Amino acid sequence: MVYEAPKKPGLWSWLLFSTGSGPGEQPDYKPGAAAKEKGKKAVKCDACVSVSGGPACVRACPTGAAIRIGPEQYVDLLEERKR
Amino acid sequence: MIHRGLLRYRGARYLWWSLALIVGSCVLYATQPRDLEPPNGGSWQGYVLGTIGALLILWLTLLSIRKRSYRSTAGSVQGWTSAHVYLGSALLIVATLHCGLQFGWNVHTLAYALMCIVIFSGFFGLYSYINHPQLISNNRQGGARAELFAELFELNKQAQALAQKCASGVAIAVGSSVERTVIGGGVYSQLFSKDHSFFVRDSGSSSALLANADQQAVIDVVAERLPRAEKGAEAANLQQLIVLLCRRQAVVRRIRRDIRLRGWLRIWLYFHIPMTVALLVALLLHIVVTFFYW
Repeated sequence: MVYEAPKKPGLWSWLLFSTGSGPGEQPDYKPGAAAKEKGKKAVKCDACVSVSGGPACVRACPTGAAIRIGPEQYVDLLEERKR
Repeated sequence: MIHRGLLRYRGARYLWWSLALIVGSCVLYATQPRDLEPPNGGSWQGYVLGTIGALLILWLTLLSIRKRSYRSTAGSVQGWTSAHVYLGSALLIVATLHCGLQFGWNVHTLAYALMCIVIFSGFFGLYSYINHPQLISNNRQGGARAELFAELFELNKQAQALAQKCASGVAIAVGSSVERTVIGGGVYSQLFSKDHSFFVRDSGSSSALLANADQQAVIDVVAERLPRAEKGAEAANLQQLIVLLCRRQAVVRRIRRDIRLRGWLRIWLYFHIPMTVALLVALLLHIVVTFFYW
């Protein structure tokens, strides 16, 4: 359960003027009065339902270490590991 | 095969792209007229090669933007990285054909040299990204580094408690070796697993601070004491102490190896990125100077 975070600055303003938290960094903020008024919100991975192209974590992994597979593929993965 | 490394992304699609780029560049190079001067960057083919190279460099640096844009849907970062590796390697050929192997002590060759440093540090990074993760997880045997440290602290406590029951020389040696064990250190120490640990050797009348590299010297001190153990209980304690110290030595070795492998996995980026920035500056100078003296 967390309060709503303020909007993140763009990448360039973070790179050039170091405003706000960088990509992947925990945002360092105190919830404002408006956010407290709204109350806390449940936070859980929803596999990026609102983003086209699937989970952002998988697309953001440069080495291909993060993959999303179904249960039946998981069995294949384990058998492949055993071999 | 569910997991694919970045070199085999989509059947090594970008390998074929970069091979096509290399073949195209070679054709451009070969079609330069050789009657007046040797092939160089001044012919129209040379300009095309140079433009391709400069645009490639700009695109290659864009990976740092793309990999931080987590919400971006412009391809997967793995695909970008795969293309970055293959096209970055092809850049070596493109730029070499552009300069026509004409080198000198000038800003043009500086840009070329910086580009080579960037590309070869990238090769090292690729090598370590492919090899080191496996070595790191084998070394840790599936656990985290914090678990290794927890094991080390537990062994420290047990060894110190047991050493208190032995002769005073042994107690001082073991206690001081625990206190003066050095892990990590500077860049050189981390990358080459240098051990600057010490322990105190106390012989009753005098004491000396001795090097304890690889935690071996303190084990030798305890082992030397074993034949001269006074009572039956001390011999048993000393044997138990040697077992603990050897286990401790193994854990310290594993931590050092973990630090070394992680260090090699990361050190190349400390060259790759600053050299890329220097390359961008040198490239800009190279382009400005070329047209200034045209």
